[in-house]
Amino acid sequence: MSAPQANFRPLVAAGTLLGIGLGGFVDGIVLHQILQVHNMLSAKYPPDTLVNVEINMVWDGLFHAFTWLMTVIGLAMLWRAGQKPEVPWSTRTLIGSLVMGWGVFNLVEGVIDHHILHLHHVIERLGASAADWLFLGVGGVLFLLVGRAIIASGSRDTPASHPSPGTAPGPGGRY
Amino acid sequence: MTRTRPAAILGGVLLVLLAAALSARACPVCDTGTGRAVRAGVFGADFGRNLLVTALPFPIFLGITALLYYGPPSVRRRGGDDTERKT
Repeated sequence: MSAPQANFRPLVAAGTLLGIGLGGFVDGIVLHQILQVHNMLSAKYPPDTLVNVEINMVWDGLFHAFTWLMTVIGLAMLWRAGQKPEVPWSTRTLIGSLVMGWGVFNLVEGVIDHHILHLHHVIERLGASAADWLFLGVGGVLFLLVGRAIIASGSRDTPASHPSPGTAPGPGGRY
Repeated sequence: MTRTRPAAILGGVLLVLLAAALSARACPVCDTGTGRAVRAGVFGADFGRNLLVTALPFPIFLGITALLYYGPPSVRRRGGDDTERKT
């Protein structure tokens, strides 16, 4: 009986979408809500009046709703990946995919919202600034490359590590 | 029980003050001057464009995810790539 062919794609795709969603939540929670350095449409509606703050809050909410949707779809994909015996249940692949997804979020959101459409900038009171490029370089490109490197480090993991039905857990109950 | 009463009264007063605060009556569904201004700002002429630009990155995220799941068309035609290998 031949060994199943390892397929990392479902796990990488699920982890990346989860990373995109969780990265979006980091952006929204840390930059929009806690630090309040920008909001979704803060370049268009400067949050210097109560009405503009409330308008931005609505669009921030919509952004969070879409981000939540990405997270839920990513979770569903992860669940399905867990049911496929050919998918190696690799922690390194999942962690790498999460980091890569966070990088994808920062890169795409940064290019579209900060640089092309100018919906907002990382530090709104500075307008277009070095912070936008730092966000793109470190949060986007660097995270993407680090994530990809972590995924590559798990490329030797095999489907034998998969907790498919009938597979007994290893020492300490770990697969 | 009587020791907690001042704290409970203070909590109640704070709750009333917070509920009466301007920000609490500025929500988009509030029937106040500020609430109406927020509604007008959100559902104004730019609503469609604002919705489009806010949502724009998300189909791209789904597209990237689909690409990772199924692989680029050239790889799909070949029937696999480096993320699929014999073990």
